[in-house]
Amino acid sequence: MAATVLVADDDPDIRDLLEFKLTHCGYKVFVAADGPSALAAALEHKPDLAVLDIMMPVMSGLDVARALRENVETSAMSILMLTARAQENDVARGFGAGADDYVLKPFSPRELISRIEAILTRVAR
Amino acid sequence: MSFVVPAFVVLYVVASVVLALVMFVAVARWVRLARRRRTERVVAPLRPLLIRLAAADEVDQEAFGALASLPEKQWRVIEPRVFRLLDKVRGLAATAIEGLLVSRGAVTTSVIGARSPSPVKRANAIVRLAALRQREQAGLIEQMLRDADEDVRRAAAIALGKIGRAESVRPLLESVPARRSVSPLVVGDALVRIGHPAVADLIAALSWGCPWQRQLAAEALGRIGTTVAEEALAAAAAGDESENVRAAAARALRKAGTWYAAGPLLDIAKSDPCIRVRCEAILALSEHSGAPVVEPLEIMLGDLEYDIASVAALALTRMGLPGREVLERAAAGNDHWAASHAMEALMAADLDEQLGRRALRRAPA
Repeated sequence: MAATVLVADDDPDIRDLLEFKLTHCGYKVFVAADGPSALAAALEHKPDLAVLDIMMPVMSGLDVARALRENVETSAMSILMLTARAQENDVARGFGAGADDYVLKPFSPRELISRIEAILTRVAR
Repeated sequence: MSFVVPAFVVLYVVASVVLALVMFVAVARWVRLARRRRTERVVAPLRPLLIRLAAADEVDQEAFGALASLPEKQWRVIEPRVFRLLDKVRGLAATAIEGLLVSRGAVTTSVIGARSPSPVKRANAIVRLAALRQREQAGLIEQMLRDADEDVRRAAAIALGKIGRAESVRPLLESVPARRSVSPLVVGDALVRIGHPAVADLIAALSWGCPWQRQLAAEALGRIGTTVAEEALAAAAAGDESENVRAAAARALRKAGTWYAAGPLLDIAKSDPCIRVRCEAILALSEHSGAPVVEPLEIMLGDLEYDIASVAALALTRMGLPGREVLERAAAGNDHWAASHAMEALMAADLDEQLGRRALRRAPA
């Protein structure tokens, strides 16, 4: 069965790009445009991995990550942060909120897929 | 003879003006909405092609061909979206999008735009040339550092950082004290963005005549964090005539120094005539030198200059266990001056640790 990935980003270009790329690579993809919809989608579909933008309207990616970690049903979900925030503190906060990996924008779609594959392989072991 | 305007005429005029304004706003909104809808109508069927082009591991010839052969009118509508997408990706995706833009003549139009009388068009043209990483056009952008418009000069500095040529270091530094100057913060960021290719020229700039340029060069070397510049920075920290440059060089050694810099930094920490420079040297020592400088820092805890004693205590807290042992010993000692600084530093470190951990857990986005 195909692994499932949730992509949460308020930028439609990035959402569509990742949805296309991940679908093309054989993943089942869910998308969300803001924090609350991302959280709702994660709770409903329980994807294997969530790609979260940090700066999203209403609820940030960090808050979504924390909420996912605190919920028993989603606490084991892999989380990858995709963000333009490159400062050392931002990266530390991302990992502090429970991220498994951190990718900076502008990003290489190919590299992002490799990272997603690596995380999912690690979890499968 | 006085002339009185009847009240109904005044009311009529005011009402007419208000009505005209409301109609103007409504029409402007309608025009903008109609233009946006027209743009979306053109963009919607082309967007999937653009996404395909950016997502492909090799250039998607079908998508590339379709976009490259669009009629000029359609291309003009979608071109800003293509640039926007280029800003969000790198690697193969960026290469494919750059190739598309170049094939549609974006470089030529940007070069023409850079000579436009409108500063907005000039700045946009520079931003586009930088997005396309046009190293061949770096000379043109360097000339724009002396543009009459401040925003154009700023855009040029940012663009040169993005393009990343070592040859841009000199014009960037020269733009700081010029009559038509660029903000040192913007130039500093651009130099750091050029990164390692800029290091040799930045080291050379440490001996230029202008203290602002020397200071900026020292700060950039520190932010780049290359140990190649260690010797030059240590020399600048010890011997530059400007205290701002000495302080910047000592600060830079925090990131760009190794234990080789400990000797010069220790001399500066003990004997520089400027307190600020001594403080920077002490903090730099704490980053790289480990146990050999614990003893001199312990002596500095008793320095009657408040800032020196306080920074020495702070430096010791950053040195891990050996530093903490010294502080605890000093806190229990008979020298009340040193003891008070040691106790303050220990308490601040403990508080920082507690608050830092909590902040990391609860930090807002």
